[in-house]
Amino acid sequence: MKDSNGIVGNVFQIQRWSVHDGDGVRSTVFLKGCPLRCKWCANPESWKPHPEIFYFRDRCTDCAQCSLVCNHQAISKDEGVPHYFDREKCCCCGDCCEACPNGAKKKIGSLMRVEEVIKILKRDSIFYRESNGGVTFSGGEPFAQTEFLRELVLACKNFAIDTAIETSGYFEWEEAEDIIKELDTVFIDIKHMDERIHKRLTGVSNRKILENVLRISQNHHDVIIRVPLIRGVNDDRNNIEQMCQFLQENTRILGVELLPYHSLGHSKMDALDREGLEIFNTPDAEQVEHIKKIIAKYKIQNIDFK
Amino acid sequence: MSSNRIEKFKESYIHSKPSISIHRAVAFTQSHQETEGESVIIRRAKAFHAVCNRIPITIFEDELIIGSIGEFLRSGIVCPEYSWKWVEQEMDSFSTRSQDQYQIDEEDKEILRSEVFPYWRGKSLEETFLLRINDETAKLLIDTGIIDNDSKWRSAVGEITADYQDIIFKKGFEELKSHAVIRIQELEPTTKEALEKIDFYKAAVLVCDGIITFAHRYSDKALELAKEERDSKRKNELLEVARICRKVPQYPPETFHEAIQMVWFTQLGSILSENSLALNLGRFDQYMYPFFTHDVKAGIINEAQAQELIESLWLKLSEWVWAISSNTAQFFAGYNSFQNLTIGGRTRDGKDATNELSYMCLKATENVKTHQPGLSVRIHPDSPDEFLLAVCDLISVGTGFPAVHNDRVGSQMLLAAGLSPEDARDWSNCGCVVPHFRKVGEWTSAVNLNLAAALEYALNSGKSRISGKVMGLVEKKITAFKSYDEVKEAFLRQLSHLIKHSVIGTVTAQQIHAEMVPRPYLSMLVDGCMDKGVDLSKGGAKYNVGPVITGIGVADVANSLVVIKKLIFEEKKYILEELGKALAVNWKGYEGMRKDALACPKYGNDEDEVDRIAVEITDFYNKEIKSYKDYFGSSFNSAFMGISNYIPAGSIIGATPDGRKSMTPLTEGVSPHAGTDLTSPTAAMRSAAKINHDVHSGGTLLNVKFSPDLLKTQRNKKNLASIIRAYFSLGAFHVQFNVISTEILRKAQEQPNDYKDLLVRVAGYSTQFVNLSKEAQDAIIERTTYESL
Ligand code: SF4
Ligand code: SF4
Ligand code: SF4
Repeated sequence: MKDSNGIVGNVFQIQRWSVHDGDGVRSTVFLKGCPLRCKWCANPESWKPHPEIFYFRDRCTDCAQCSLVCNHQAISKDEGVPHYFDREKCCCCGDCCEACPNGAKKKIGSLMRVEEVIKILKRDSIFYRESNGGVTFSGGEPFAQTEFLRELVLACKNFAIDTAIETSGYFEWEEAEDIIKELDTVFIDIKHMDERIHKRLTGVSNRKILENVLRISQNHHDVIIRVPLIRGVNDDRNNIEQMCQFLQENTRILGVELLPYHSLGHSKMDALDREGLEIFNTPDAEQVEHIKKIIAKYKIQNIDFK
Repeated sequence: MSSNRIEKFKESYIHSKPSISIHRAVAFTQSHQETEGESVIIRRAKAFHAVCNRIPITIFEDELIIGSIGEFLRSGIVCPEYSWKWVEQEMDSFSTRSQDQYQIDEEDKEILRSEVFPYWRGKSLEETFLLRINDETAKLLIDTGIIDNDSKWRSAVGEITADYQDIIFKKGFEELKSHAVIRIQELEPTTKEALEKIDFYKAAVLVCDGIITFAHRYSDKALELAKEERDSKRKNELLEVARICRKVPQYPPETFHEAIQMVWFTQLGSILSENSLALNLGRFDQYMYPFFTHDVKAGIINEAQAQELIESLWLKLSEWVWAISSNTAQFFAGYNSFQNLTIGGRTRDGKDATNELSYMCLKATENVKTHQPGLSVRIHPDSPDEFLLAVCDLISVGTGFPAVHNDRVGSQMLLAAGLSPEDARDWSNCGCVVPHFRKVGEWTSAVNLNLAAALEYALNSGKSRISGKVMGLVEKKITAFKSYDEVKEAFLRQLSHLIKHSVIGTVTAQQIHAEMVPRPYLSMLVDGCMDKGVDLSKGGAKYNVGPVITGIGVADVANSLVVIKKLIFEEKKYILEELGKALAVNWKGYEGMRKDALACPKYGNDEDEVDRIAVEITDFYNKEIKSYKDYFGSSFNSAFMGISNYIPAGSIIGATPDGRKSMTPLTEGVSPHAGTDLTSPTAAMRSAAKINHDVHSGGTLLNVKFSPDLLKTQRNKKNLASIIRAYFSLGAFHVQFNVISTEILRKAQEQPNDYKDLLVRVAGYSTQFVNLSKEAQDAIIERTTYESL
């Protein structure tokens, strides 16, 4: 995307002091837009490429302040009628979010220029340097905004800031190859080895993802495989062994990081008036340990950024 | 884990209640009745001597380090010569008040009422100060929370660091005494100076005799107990202790055990002489190290034994209780006595000074979890990573210790205060976060100044919003301001006015101190006094550094000014008059405006727009303060440290433009206002580091709260170490971490009995959470956690 001042991207959060997405103290840039629809997604507000509005009903007092500022008739103004928010008419300008005295509405995502993002990222340079940290690009699927991502990564390189990416692996290799070569660390997900199950759970086949895992590991030496671990879905011995075999035979990676499922996404879905997540269970600590042992058996390192 | 002995001490310590021992007050008073007509310094020295000879000698079960200021395990004493009225008024409620309770015997109360207080009527420091201070200053200074210096006339000053390196361990009190005797013989009483010097040296002889006798009485007691002791191991211990107390502090120590006992006797002397705050232990790991290496090499002691002795001292330092009025207790909550002990840093010639004892001190604090000593570390670029990681380990335990200081900035602050480079490198902390040196005489916490009051008066025609009384300069009405700069200038004028009266309050107090309460015992511990023959209270120290005026509420004022700048003058969304009305009614009916105010940039989020205002205010504050000279001709100094005074300071301030509600707490040190630093700890640190720390020779303080789950793993601790180093490369002076989940704190509030040992960092210091008042507890809980980020 471009505006008159150059390349812009849709960013829904920049989190400073991010300490679980790679080495050291980091800042994580969350880019909006994702081609997958994982049924356990913790960031469903990242799915759509354009801005969206969170509406937290439990905080809303029906005071109708928001309706006064909305120029799109997206909020019913009738007195006595319960306050009604019509997403069809809403253009996600965010005016109502500022007007709401109760924090019941929040705009997700805004267009930012590369320099704007870099300016924020550079603020913590001294902390990155002392801790061997840097910047992590996350999403959504960061490669969904290839052009913007490329500029951000190159700009970071320019300032000698370490870069990492968290990707679903679902992207076109040709478009991403040059960026991947610039990145210092790549975190890439393997959600399931079975194509059919993968499709049912995420909406897409895993073929492209596994191909990209192969290519990345051939082109890059700091690759960490991430597995969102969900009880009864992908934590069975069979799936884990298959993955390990695949990795052992075909790739050179730093290791595997298990990320036990949590149910943070559901309340966000409610606030977006959306459906489509399923409720899953977190594997217990024992099961996680068990899986780690299987992984270790394949001489693959278990990595933890806790 | 500590030794069994220490675990047992800890147990009895936790379960004993602070109690008032009256013997010091009685002996001190009786002596004064016997010495009417003699010179003040001699009378005070004789009174000290009497105290050392008369107070009860108590050795508690199994102790290795002995000596106590009273007969109770946790004794507090009262010093009627400074102030007695509050004791008379409050002692009936000592055991029931909300903050810092004490037990006191009915008979003892009667003795105080009939034999002690009547003597001091009209003679105490407090009464004299109140009589002498001019009315205009008094209006702002006396129990108002606007400018506050009651610790300088309701109690003694404290704020010294005993010089073990060059005086106490080198000479012992016997040599000091003989030195004084020689000087008396040399001097001819022909001039004013000589007369005063002779008195000073006579007093020196008396106090040296006093502390030596005190130790000998302990020696006798230990022998007596040894005779009765059946257990042969304990018997031998008592005999050894008896031997040691015969030797120190009269003569220099030769072993680690002797040295530590000498430290404690020296400290006891300080407490008994004036019962004050911030009697610091200085660079303990440095002056104890030669004894440690010697003893280990000679096979006299092993590391476990040394550790046990260190932990014994830690418990001793925590046992005595600083008895204070309920008013003062709001400021200095939690029985804290601010005995600071500094480890790490550099040597006088600039090498890394970290040694085994530095690590053992960290371990001692982790093991005993007492609120004293106030453990401070100095970190410099070449501090070993292992040491900083050990520091982070201790931080992660959640005792609030240690306070972490930037070694180089500490030195810069002292260079700016006029010390030589070597002396500036040899600094240690005073109280909470004041860089200090053992040869310095300084009032390190002379006045607390409420910055938010200056802003309130600027916006409210000089009037307090709470009382409605005129307290500031009466200048223009809020409607008359034409620009942001006019508002800012008006604030700065009000601030200068408060600074001027802080100075008046201080020099008046200094004058009275020099006249009335010379400090013959403490003059033995600070270099310069003995050479010059001049008391510490009269400027006898090698260096006299000017008194420190601490500003409270930097964040609140910066946040408020940015709201005025943005909403009133830039966006023109409101007019000042409306804002004034909103503040007058504590925002009631102005919720929308308050929301806009809260949405303005807040200090602590690395936003230059507001952070620059904080820098501007603090720079101005420093220059204005430095333009005044104290009673001895030294420039005043600025600081942004904080005791728990941001709570009472807030209680006298109405609503502020930043959206803060009336009478709620302000902010301590250079920390962001509670709950407003939502970006990240790195952003909070960057904001705080924008302030020019090096010029505030009285110290600066940043409090960061961490949830313990962020500090569980080695990786987390390394990150913590990194952000400390990064913060220090940015030029900041001090940071400390509270690592406690709000959940635990809430539980502790509900079931205090289960959480008696839970330590939290209040501001410049740590104390038991359950000892704090409900409001102070709530304020701690409210501080931002970064847990959810
Ligand atoms: S985001 Fe804009 S269009 Fe949508 S409801 Fe709010 S004000 Fe109306
Ligand atoms: S302004 Fe906020 S609280 Fe009021 S009706 Fe709108 S969303 Fe609800
Ligand atoms: S790839 Fe990530 S962001 Fe996209 S849907 Fe799946 S979990 Fe959500």
